[in-house]
Amino acid sequence: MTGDRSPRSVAEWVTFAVSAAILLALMGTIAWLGIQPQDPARLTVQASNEPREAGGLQYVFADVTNEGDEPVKSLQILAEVTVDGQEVSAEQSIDFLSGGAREEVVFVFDADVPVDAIKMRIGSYSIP
Amino acid sequence: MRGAAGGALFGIPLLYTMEVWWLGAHAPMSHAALVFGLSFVVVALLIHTAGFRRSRDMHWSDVVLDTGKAVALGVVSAALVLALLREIRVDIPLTEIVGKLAFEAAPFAIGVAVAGHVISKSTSEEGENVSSDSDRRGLGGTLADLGATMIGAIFVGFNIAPTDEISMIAVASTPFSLICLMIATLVITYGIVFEAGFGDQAARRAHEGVLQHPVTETTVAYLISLLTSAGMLLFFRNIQPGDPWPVIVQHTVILGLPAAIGGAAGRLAI
Repeated sequence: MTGDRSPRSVAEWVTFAVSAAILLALMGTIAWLGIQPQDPARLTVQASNEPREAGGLQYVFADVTNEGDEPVKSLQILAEVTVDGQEVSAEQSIDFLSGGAREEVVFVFDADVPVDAIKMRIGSYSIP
Repeated sequence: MRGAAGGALFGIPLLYTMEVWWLGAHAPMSHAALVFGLSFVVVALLIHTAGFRRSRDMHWSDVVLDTGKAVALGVVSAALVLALLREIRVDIPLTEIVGKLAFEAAPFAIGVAVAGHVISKSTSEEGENVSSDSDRRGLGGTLADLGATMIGAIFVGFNIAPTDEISMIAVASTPFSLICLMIATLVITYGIVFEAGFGDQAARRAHEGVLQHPVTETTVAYLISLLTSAGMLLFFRNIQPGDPWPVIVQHTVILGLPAAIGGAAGRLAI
């Protein structure tokens, strides 16, 4: 670019080669991802840690996992249980869940709710 | 190039603000037209004030012409970056695209005007002698460049790293858009540091050390900016060590654009 500059030193060549190789490897990896078949989102929700009880409430932990490759937005997760013939529910939402990603959520119920009977499911999501 | 580089320096942070996308997406066309008009007025005032301070004989026709150029360049630059971030796409209604451009082009246009009329040209462009600048030689200069890149990247990226915009852009991104974003980041930062005429560019080009050549400096600085971006995203828990690696790569490359621009500004500042 300028005529008065001295040629690259060995150190500079090495620095440039390593940096360029890393960036090219990153671009290549992204391109490789692009040509892989993409599984649609496959969402699962299941209880994770033991429920915790405090202040007359039960805190029920669950892992939400996207086992597919495509991300989802505005994910709604529902936890429902029937107590004395009446349906009790709690819900949680996650803004984004990328392919392969996992998030932990917590549902809060009254202490008298039978934890083992709680059913958790994905309510809805939108496709980015 | 100088105008586009100035636009990027001023406009990029606002491009990572979802409220501005929504404002533009939902704005009535009358509101969008008003924003365009106000941008034109603000840029014209800026150019007139800067021109008056320099020569005192700047004619209004020159102001209008320069303002038109600045706003047009602002619109094109904002459109390119918004397209790279997939905030404007061919499947989006034209009214939404126009609305987003109205709001996002304003800071770019101001940046173009500031670059062209307020920030003085580099000494080499004005014909002054280029000093050898002994402080910038060798390992010291290299470390100063790397440090300035990291500080600049943190300065700009720290405001963006904890926001949901990174995740929003990441879920909408494609491998092709990410590669384009990486290439655009390299071109923009090269332009800011070596082509735009900010600072003493001949001194930068004469710089000796491991980062002697502009291409080497740009490549290494981008790598530093990406590493700094990943560090900031981890710091704010926007990515976590257990996340799938494609997610980490997406987030890092997306934050890498503003961080690398901050890094380029940092290298100019030292």
